[in-house]
Amino acid sequence: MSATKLNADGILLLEQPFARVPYENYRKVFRATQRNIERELGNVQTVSNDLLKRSKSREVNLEDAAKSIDGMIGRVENLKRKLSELQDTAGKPTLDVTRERLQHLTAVEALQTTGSLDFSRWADTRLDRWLVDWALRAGREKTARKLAQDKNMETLVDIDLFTDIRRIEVALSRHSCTEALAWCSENKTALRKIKSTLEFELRLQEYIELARAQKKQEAMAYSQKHLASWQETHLPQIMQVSMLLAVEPSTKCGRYRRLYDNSRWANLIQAFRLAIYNLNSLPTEPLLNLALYSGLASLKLPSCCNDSRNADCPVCDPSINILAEEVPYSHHANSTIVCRISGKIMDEDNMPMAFPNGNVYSREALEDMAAKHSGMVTCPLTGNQCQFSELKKVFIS
Amino acid sequence: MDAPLKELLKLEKLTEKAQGKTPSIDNSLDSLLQSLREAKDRINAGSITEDTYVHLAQTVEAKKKEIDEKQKEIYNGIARFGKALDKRFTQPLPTHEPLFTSERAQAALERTIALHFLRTGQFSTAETFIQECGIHIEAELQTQFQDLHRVVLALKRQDIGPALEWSLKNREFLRKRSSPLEFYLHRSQFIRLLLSGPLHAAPAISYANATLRSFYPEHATEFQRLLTSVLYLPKERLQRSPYADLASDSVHTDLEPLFAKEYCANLGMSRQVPLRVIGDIGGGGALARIEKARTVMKERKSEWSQTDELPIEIPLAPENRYHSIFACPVSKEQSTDKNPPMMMTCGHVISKDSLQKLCKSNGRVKCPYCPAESAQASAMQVHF
Repeated sequence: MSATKLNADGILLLEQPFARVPYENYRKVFRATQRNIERELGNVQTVSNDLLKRSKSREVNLEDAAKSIDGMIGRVENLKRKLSELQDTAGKPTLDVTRERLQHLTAVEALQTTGSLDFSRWADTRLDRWLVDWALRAGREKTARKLAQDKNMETLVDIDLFTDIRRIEVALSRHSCTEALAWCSENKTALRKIKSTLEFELRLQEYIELARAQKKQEAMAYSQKHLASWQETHLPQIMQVSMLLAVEPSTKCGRYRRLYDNSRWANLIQAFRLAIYNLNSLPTEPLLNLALYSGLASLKLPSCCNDSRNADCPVCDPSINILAEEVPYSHHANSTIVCRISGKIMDEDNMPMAFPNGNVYSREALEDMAAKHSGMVTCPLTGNQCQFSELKKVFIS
Repeated sequence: MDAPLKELLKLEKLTEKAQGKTPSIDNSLDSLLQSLREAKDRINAGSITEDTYVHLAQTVEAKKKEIDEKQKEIYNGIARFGKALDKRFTQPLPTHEPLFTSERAQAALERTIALHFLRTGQFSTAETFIQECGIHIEAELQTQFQDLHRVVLALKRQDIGPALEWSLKNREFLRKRSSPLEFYLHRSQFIRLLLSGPLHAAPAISYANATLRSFYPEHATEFQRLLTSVLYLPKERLQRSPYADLASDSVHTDLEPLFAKEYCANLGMSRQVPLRVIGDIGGGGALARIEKARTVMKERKSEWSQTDELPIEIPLAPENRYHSIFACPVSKEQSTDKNPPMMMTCGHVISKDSLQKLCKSNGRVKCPYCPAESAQASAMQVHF
């Protein structure tokens, strides 16, 4: 274990989603609370103003008034209950998770070096978090849940969010836009902020499916209801799909064939994924991949890819080597030579020494060897032997 | 994370039942309910007047305003928290083109992860994963990892039996590596016997007699220390003696990583867990550096062919140096097969290309680091 200085900022770069996801979740809860308040109290306000107006014009009848007030009481009690429920099931738990995650990050910020047991445990947890994130994105939900459960870190990962994403993606792959549209309507404002056209694309697809099924009347009604509102910005596309009513699904005409093509569903899934990732501050690539990319690039050397494999080097491992193919080589401006016998670095304290055949090993390892074999040293690679005294000192800088 | 945590705490206080500048929403709603019920009672008692309706409308208005203000307070609290987060996370998370997307890469990644679970002893998770992905891990490999784990667990339970059994079976291999594993296993047991009871030297010494003798030639100093430590019983005295390190737990806990290292080396596997090594480097600052280099290069509009080499050096700790890297001190380029390191007769090493460039017309080269001259032909290619 070395005592390398801990790079807190470097570490935190990857921890943004970790901290932001519960924050975004809480904002969602707040918006839900706000919607409930506006709906119920807005209604109560309307009723009470109406009562006042009618009483001023002497139109109020006691029975009706009583009913109205009962209605108002009902609404307020309803609101109380809903708000309490939101707070207990969503609000407070989300804030608790936020706090836990921030404290988890504070713990690593407080460490000075990477050599301590505390850091090792923290890094173990981090790798597990990355594995859960990767597994969820790859659809390996069982593994993700098991890992999160075994390591007791359900609050440190976002299983529910990804399960929801998966649910909607699966629905889209089954050619159903309903779930995705429900999500869009829940997140209207946020989607508008990022200028997303996801809702329009979904509506368009539903229209195309109606046209495909030759349900002309329904299609036209659908277009009036759902596509018309996008006229200002998307008229050309709307006009194009409206032509579909006159075109068979089996058409050979390029433009309309593309519209009927089922690959549009794959694009919808992609568009949905990007939108929901964006809204939740999730990265598009799993964090594991980003860490692997930069880690592999820091280690990859030409020697990893030819025959001089070192069992300890992670990049030399056959499976990891395949991953390393996509990654650039590391860059080194200075020499660091490692003894093939001891694995130790050769420097002024442990000078490299050369055999007559040009193979170089560290002085310590060779001295050790000489001590056990009365001054003789053998090159492990070639078997050549010579006296320790015949070795030449090598200076690399 | 101090600033965000502070804001979070403030926000938590705001949303809990009765804190903050304005009354809690619950209280406002309760007071509104009371007004409504009073109005209802008036109706039932027949004493309702226009004023009641006026008063009711006003109360509704007032309570709604209260609640809106409370919501505003909370909204501001949330915004402040968000800002504190923004301040702490100044760099956005770098994006990247999709990685490891090919089927071959995916399969390699799945295999790596499965082996990781096995290596770290998470056998049931490994099984779930292997099933869910439908990949195949050779049964032999799985048994090997299970064996490793079994022995490590035994060591945790202070049972050196299985570890010893393995060491005896693989004595030759350990001897070739000059590994102290067997000796340290016995040492751990010796010390355990020594400290197990009040002044219990006899069983420990007979254990030493039986098992430690053969290690004398290679571990003479340590052997002597162990036997002399008997003089310093009981444990408290030993802890104050020059042999205090023998009383510490690390004599026993260090056995686990040592055994894992030897076991894995025997099977040709790395001594550290590969995913941890790569993850720690990648997540320890490498990504930040690469991203910074990328933005700088973009600003300078210089080209970086991504598939070639990183434009910057990522510092590596000594334990992450697995291969030799020779960068010619003259040209600063890394040596390759076509441009290997060459050692001149003075012992200094430069790359072949640099050697040729420094060569004079009479075939002699003046070393850039010392006054010595050597013949170009006598320069020897070295292998690290």
